[in-house]
Amino acid sequence: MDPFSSPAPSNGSSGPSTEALMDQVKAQLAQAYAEEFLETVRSKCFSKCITKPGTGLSGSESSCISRCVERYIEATRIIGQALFNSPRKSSSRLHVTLGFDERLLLGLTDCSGCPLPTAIASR
Amino acid sequence: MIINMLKTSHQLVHISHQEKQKAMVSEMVGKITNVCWDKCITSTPGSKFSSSESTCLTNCAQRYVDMSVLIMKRFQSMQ
Repeated sequence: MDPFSSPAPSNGSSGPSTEALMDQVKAQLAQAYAEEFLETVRSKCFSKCITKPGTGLSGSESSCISRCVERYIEATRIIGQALFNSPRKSSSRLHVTLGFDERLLLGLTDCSGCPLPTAIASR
Repeated sequence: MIINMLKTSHQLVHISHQEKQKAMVSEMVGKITNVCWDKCITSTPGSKFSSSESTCLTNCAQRYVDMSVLIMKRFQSMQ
């Protein structure tokens, strides 16, 4: 069955089939974010580490790539903290710009429900 | 944007407000990290960030938000 169609019109309450559908949507979202994140990392690390493609990956290229992946995940964490952990000022501007709920902002130090990459970065 | 997948599909599943916000947050963090990595990490990645690199990332993220606010205001004042 197509994950986006519902067996009966949704009335907004969480009956078992609506919940199962929600889980499926969440899983697909997480999957989509993971793929997008990986594609970004591939692109960044290729341009930083593979300057002159040879006939194989050298040791230095391989270690550069490993470090690059770690650094990119760390960068994601730093950005998350810069936006949501620090001064009220940047948080409240986000509220103005994007209409985020304050509750969500305050809870974001541990965004356990968030799809990747925020979830990866906060481990 | 991935979140447009949800907006444009003709589905009957109600995505909660909070789920949408979480998705927007992830989207935004991803976008800003992408942009700020290019601005701030200019040399080969090391085994940790220098303090200037991590400061740059922090500043970059906050300036990006400041810019977004400014753009919104400008845009609205033109309506």
